[in-house]
Amino acid sequence: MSETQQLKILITEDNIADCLIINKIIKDQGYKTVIANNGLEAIDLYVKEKPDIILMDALMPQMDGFEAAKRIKQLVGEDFVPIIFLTSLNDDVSLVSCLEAGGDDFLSKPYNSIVIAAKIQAFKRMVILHRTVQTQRDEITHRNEYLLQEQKIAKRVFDNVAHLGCLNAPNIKHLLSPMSVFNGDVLLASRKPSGGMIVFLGDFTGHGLPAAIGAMPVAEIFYGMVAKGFGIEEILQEINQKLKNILPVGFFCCACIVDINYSWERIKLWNGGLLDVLLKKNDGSVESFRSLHLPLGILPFEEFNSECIEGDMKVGERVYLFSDGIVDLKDHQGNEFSLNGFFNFLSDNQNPEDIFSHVIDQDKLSAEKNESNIDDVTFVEISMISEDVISSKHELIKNSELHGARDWSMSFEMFNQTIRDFNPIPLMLQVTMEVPELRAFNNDVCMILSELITNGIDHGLLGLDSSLKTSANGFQEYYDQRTKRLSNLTGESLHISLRHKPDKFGGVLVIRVVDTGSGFDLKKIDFDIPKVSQMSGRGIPLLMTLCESIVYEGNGNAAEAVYRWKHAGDDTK
Amino acid sequence: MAFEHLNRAQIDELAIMLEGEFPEFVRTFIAHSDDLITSLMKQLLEKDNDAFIIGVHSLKGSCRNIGAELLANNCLEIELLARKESISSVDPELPTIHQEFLRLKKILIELARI
Amino acid sequence: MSIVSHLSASGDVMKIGIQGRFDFGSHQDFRESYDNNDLNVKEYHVDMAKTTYLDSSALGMLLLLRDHAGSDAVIKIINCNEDVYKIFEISNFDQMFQISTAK
Repeated sequence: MSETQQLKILITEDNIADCLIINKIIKDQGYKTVIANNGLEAIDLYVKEKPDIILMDALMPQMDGFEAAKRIKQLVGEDFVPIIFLTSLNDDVSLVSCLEAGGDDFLSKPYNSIVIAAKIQAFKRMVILHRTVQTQRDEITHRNEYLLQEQKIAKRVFDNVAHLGCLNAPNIKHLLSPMSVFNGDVLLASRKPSGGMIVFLGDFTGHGLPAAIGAMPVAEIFYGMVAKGFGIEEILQEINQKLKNILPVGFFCCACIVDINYSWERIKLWNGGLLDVLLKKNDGSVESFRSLHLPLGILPFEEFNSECIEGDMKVGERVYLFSDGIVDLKDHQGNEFSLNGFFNFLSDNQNPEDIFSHVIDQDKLSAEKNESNIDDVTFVEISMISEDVISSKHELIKNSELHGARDWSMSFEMFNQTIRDFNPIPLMLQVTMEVPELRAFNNDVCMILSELITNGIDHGLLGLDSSLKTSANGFQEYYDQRTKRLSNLTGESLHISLRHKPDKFGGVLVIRVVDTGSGFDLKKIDFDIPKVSQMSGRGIPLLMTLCESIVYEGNGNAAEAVYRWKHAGDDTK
Repeated sequence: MAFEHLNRAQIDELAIMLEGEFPEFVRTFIAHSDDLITSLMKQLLEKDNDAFIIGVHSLKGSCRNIGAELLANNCLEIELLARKESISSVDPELPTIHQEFLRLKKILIELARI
Repeated sequence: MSIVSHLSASGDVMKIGIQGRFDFGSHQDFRESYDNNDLNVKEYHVDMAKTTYLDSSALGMLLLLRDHAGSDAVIKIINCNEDVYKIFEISNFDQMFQISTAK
């Protein structure tokens, strides 16, 4: 019944004369009437006619008004059909009974048509209001269900792109709620082709689909680039640029990326906007890696800083990354972690095995309490394990595999600005990975290529002084100089050539890097492996341990490294 | 306060509201009240306390509606008696009701010219 | 949550005061506080003396202000309490805005 439609009123009255009167009054006011003479008839007619308002005599034979009202109210359910008792009872007890029976109001005899008109008008407004609210509520429920369905579908698309990667590796424990992507949380992990792994944790601003939508390009870029051997600096640069392009102003992604290197027991990480990344060391102390950068998606290419921090991470040590949902979880005493609490919890904790299970329990608890204003927490624990453990679980290519490139050479030369703009290492690695079984040694190959190329550029072409890298400020200056000199390069080139030959035991890879610079003084190089506390200078001595030989020719601007490898199962070096 | 047999102001208002249906209404009132009273006598004989109270209450109500104050009051007194004590305390002849109803009938018939 | 803004007499400094929680619900009010001004404003002071809480959507809103104000405008965020300042610290927003605490 809308505003313009007629109200239908059920009149239940056993006295015929009274019935005549009330019926006339109601009809004169423009309403439709339906007549019942006792309680039973009233119930029956309610079901048949579905009146909007009911006038009910209190005392009637067969079934009185109270009983009829109770039963009708049950039938009405969550709709609103006001019942007005017609009564000449005027003691309070009886009037209370009217209300207790579900009556909404009462009219006393003698009937006063003005009072009746006013009451019906008032109830008519209430009925319309109630129905409007119900319709809107149903619409909202329907819309919500639709939205949830949309999210589920989006989630399936997302899962196809942002698969688990290596989150199920034996040295990773993670807590990630299934719909967390709709809270903006993204957790990605992938093995590097050269060994080791990279983990990315992102927390997009906002909730729902807008928060989730950024996760897809990030996941694509991440898995694509890690597989090609790119380092985390380049991956960050790419992701930042992508997000800057696609996210509207005001949206960004707090993130942290960690590169775990098993061979060298080192981690390298970048933290922009997330809580401190914590490293629990074997001696029980906790090292924290603060957020030093703006979140991703804010700065343009030229201002973005992908500089990472490095640290030692010995076998048995564990690094923790988490989203800010953690501040709402509690410690053993029942206090919320808040911003610093987890650090203290980690420091005090003598049993590292406990930590992850404690977080899981707390998360379950808060989910049970259904505290919906609390963010899901995304939490990762990565343990450093020895490289042997990891490689033995790798599927190594069998000796009998005949496919692949074993006997080949390749050369690549870069000039001027391309030296600044292009990293050739992933390209080189793509090729070397085509050698069956050499994949297992890709970490070494990557190191060698990296060192030779960096030396060729930094020292050969740019003439930078690595003694600058002995202090934190010096690092900054070094990189500033590097950037400047790179952009001024003219008439220079860097030539890289690779030659691989198989031999009885495996193969040998010769890497030659020649730069057009003026060379450097070979005598200045310190060939002793430096102490751990020195920040730079690992380069050439490191190469010495990896390679069968390393020779500098000319005036130092040509370096040739010979790397010999053996099939797995034989003695390796 | 003296009760009137028929409150003129009230019945006039009713007559105005019912317009052409007023004579029909009066006939209905008289007939229905007559039936009610007959039922009341029967209920007294059968000692049906609950039905009696409902009946006399209904009569009281419709008397109020037309302004038959005296008859309504008589009904009230009997209703209270039946509720407080029991149906046995009520005079089985219902003299006050019978008498007053006869008087009322006359007035109404004259008024409605039926 | 309420947002009060006023222009300095010289017309080139706009002060925006944020009272209560600065979160997702503040979006429209915050935007309106600077949106309809003329283009002469060179400096914005966002006063957080009465701001009790700040979340990532608030950070987003500050980025929008920066976008609106242009690259040569100065945006100062002043009178931050400890909790609010901590959030700016973690997100390194001091690399883009001049942020100071309450004295």
